[in-house]
Amino acid sequence: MFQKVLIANRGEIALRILHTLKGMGLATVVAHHAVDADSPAVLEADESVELHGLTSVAAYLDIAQLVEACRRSGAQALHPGYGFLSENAAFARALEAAGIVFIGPRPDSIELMGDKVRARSFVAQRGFPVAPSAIEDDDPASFVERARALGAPLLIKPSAGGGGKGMRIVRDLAVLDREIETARREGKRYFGDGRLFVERYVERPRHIEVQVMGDAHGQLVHFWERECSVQRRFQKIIEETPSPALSTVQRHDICEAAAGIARAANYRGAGTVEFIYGAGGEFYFLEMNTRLQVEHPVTEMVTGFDLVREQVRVAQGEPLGYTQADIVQLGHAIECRLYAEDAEHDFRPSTGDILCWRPPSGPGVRVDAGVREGQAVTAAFDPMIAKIICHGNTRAQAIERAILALEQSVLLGLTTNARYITRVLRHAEFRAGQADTGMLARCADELRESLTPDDIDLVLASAVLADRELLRAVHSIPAMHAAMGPWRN
Amino acid sequence: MRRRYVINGKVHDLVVTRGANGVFHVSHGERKFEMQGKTLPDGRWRVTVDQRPQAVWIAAQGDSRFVHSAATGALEVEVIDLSAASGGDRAGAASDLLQAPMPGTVIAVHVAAGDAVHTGQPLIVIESMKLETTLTAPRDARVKTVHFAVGNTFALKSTLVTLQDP
Repeated sequence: MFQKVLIANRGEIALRILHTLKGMGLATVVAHHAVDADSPAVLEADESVELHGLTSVAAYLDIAQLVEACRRSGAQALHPGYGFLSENAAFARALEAAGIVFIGPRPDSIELMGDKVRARSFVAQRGFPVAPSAIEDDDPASFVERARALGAPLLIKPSAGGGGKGMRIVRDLAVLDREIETARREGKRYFGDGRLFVERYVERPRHIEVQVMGDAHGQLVHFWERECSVQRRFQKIIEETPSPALSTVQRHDICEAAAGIARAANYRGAGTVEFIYGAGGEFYFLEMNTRLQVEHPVTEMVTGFDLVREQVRVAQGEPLGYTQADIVQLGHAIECRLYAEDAEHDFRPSTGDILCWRPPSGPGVRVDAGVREGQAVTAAFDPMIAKIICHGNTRAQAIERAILALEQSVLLGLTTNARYITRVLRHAEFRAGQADTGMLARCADELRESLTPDDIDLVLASAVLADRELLRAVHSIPAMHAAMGPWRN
Repeated sequence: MRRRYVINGKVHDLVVTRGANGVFHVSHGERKFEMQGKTLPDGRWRVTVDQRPQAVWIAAQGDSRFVHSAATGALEVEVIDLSAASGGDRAGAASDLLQAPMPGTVIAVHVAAGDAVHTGQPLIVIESMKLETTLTAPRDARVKTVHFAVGNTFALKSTLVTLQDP
């Protein structure tokens, strides 16, 4: 059993993991770069270890320093959070070699799922659904013919790509040859690699993922699904569970498929199997994330389980101790990601000092944040500041609570997307449970800020009250004096 | 007293005069309103506009005022000093400053202080939102200062490179 655990992360997730570890009675160590020395997680931890690096990000990615930090502090295990080294098999192996438990899956599972082409063929070979596709490398000479045989619509992707660059949608097969050549040129330009693959394009795609958890004794369960279709620039901003897209039967099918994939991989620990779900009810495996997800709290709110606690228990070698039937979804939960960004200007990141931070509270409201007043938000890290997670008896109640919580979230000193998210939550398409991954781009005009003249006057009046220079100048003319006019002189 | 504020890029010109009992009279273009404010024990303000009170959080930093109310969410208000000089001098100086179009990280620096550069020459490459952008010289000039090194992060509108006449 562990006595002491080191957290190799920062921000909200470091604090969230810390709270569970403390609750379990474990001693805690937070490894951090100097820029985070005053962050809430570092201040609340029993111990902290400073990491050094050319940049702050480099410090959090330094495997040798983190292994040494565990050794020096006497931590028996390390929790990587998400991002940074959480899906790095070499890191998991380095810890294992040093006798430290990596709170995550086995290194070979990370490797299998980390390579998209390998993961996809693994899943397909075991009879689970993947989007029909043609991979150029399999046989370059027949690539175009194999692609054509899939039927329209098609999505052309660069083999070496990511982040949406060089992807092309083909709805008319007559232009397939031309589009393939264009995609090849783009692939060469962006990635120095012109190899392509083509898959069936899913119209109005929705992103549905399933949380799984396996122990070291061959038991594996799912914690139901999450829908994360509301995205901008391939980044999720609103996540919820249950998914409003699924019927009971579809929910069962997609969750069982995810658990089946994880079982086939003899998966241990927490993982998420992501699917793309089409308007016709079809779903295909997209990828598997071998770590805790940013949006895991919605699952916790409807199932009552603490997923970090389960991760730690499984890493200690404990059996799950419960079965699939013990995991039920109660009510509905929605997570809103508060980002330091300007939704009115193409979501460009915003930086500044946090002058005032008053997180919301109320029935069914959970806030996962790792910031404090006075802290500078820079471009060095991901711009997510906090997650506001709301639970309700029904989806409508969860939405109402999320809107109120966002309106009550006070963060001054930089621009956030709080207002923008409330507009998405109020949008008819979202309320009807019809949002797909294209919604934010399609509805951009309807989601633009609209302030009434009364709103503007209130903001201006507030600015006047905070404008000392103006008030001094106004006060230098006594009211009576000004009103009486020149004759008094 | 005249004052110019900017909200979301939109200019608002105000004339503020003092009335009795802490009330201010504000003309905002065609609109006119009466306002007063009082701090509350929890740090908020009660801001009353035309008899309608609302609870507001207000913070100030430099020329920015940040305001949050339930109705409006958080907004930044820029205070513009109307008495400051504008025009020729400032415009000339501005073209010497290569400013960051968005916050990000420097990934390459192609010039050093003292280098002669010509229009369109790449000076510095930045990364922001996972996109690379090359910033080029707006005119023939000499590099006076490069303000950030590779790996450094910077805020929106930070001056990255200062130029001077060749």
